[in-house]
Amino acid sequence: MNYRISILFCLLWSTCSLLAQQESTSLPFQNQVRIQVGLDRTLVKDQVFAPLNFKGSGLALSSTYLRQTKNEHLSVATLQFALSAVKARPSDFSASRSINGHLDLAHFRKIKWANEKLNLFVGGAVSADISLIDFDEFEAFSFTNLYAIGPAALLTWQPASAHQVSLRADFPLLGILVRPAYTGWDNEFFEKSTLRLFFEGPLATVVDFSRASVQMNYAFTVSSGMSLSFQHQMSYLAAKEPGPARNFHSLTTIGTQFNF
Amino acid sequence: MKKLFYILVLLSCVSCERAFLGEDVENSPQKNFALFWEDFDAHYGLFVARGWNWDSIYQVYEPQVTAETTDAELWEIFREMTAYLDDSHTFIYDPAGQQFFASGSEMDEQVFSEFSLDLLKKSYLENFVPLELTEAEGEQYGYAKLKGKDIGYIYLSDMEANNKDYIDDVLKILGEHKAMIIDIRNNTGGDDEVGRQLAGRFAESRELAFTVETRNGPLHTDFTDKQSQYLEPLGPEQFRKPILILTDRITVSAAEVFLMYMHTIPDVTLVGDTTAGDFSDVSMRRFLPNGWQYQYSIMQYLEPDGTSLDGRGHVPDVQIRNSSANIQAGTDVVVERAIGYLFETYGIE
Repeated sequence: MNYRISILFCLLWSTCSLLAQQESTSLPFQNQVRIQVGLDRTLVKDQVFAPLNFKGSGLALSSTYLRQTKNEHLSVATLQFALSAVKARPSDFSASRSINGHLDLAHFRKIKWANEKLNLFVGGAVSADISLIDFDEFEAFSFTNLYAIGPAALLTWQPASAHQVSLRADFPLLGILVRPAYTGWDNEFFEKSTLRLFFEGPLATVVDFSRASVQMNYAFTVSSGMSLSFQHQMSYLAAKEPGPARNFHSLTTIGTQFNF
Repeated sequence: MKKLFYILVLLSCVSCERAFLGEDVENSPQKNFALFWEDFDAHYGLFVARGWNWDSIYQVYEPQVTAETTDAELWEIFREMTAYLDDSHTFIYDPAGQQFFASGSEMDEQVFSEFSLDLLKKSYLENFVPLELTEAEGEQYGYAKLKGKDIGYIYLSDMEANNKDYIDDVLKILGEHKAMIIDIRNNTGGDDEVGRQLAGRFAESRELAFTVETRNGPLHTDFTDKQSQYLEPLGPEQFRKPILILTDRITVSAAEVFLMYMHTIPDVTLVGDTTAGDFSDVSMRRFLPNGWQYQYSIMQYLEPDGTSLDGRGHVPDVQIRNSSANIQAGTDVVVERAIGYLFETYGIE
């Protein structure tokens, strides 16, 4: 499994340059770090877990690092985590927890066009998503984990000097999909290797899964190098086997953005 | 900026449940019945091993479920469907109404009354040393010597242990005796690995003990490849003298798996009553729209020759069973028979 991830990673990065030079840049920073905290709204329907719609909310954490290269291209690293309490209908006896982790490394190339305030970047990302739902300390659980690669686009807009809006969309197309065993139970998980359960799966395409993520970020500059930011993201992950699973998350977070 | 703000508010407020998950499943008696029957049909692992006709259950009970079926009536229908399977790893649970039913448990109360560790401590054992194998309250574990006999005795009320190597310390004390009685009557099972570790202290060589296959498809005959489980000598020392294992109708699950390991060892004799005949691991907790929950068996444990003991249990070599009256009169005929057997067969007393 490790070698497959390595190949996916190299395919993306082998054509990209990470050299950064101090030349004129389309965005008013060379490096940017964003740290956000807020609310995660979760919707899950996983037939391996239950035939019911589970929904709830919880805590979301997000951090992003952007670096602008000498050619005004962008390299982005994102780490997100969400922990939510979910349940089916109003029944407290189905109360479960939803745990989600996301990591992606993206690279965007700037598309040159005649608009100073609007910038369009296209590229691709390698991402890892872990979506786990768990009832009563693994009395029941299921997961949809995807380690994938696909295209991504980023649009930035600076309507005024103190305001910046960005819109990003990701659509993984190819990856490694990890789902539970047919009955959900796996002896390996409980008696041998837990990690193997989360990282071993077949190569999959958009025929086997659906994954999309759209993120909107608004930043307001409060001082030189620092902005307040508001972010809203919707992400969707679905798989077909061994039973249909759909995971939807709506993350609304606020935080601080540092440019340097 | 105003337009953008309104768009954000809209995005935050719109309900996405129906769009992304689809309609939630209907909570009606018919739908609950359909989901319950279909889930078993798709995932239960013992239809073939036990010879059950699940389609006939549908034909009998489906016509009884209508939109007017009450919760009490539906519970009774589910109870009868579950009882049909006669499988103590299958149960239904209503957390709101505090109702619980486990299949194959009808005789448990009677069998519990046919065993008493207190009686054994008082009349048959000397120097009983309790073992604290887990934090669970009510569980009983310990070892002793039979009064006036050169026979060691171990009692386990389940197959759980935080430290699976506890048996090595026990064998340092009991290993000097000429024979061992391992009493797993009223044993409610637990962790197969605890049983393997225990059995390994009595093993002489590496032997195939059993195979396991897990349901993995829509047909009742869809199973994974067989996983072989072996018994091999474990621990610093092994006890290789005659062993008697005492069993009853409650001896179940991991305790029965322990017996599958012990079957590979010569000079092991089962004394008591036939065991429960329920080996499989249990499924995940399953949920219904009406809030009820349930679990069921998903695996087949097979002897090395491919036969299944599910539904049959281990038949003892020496069949004998206490009655409640025996216990109340202060007599454990199973232990007495075991002592007699050791003398008759091995001259051990």
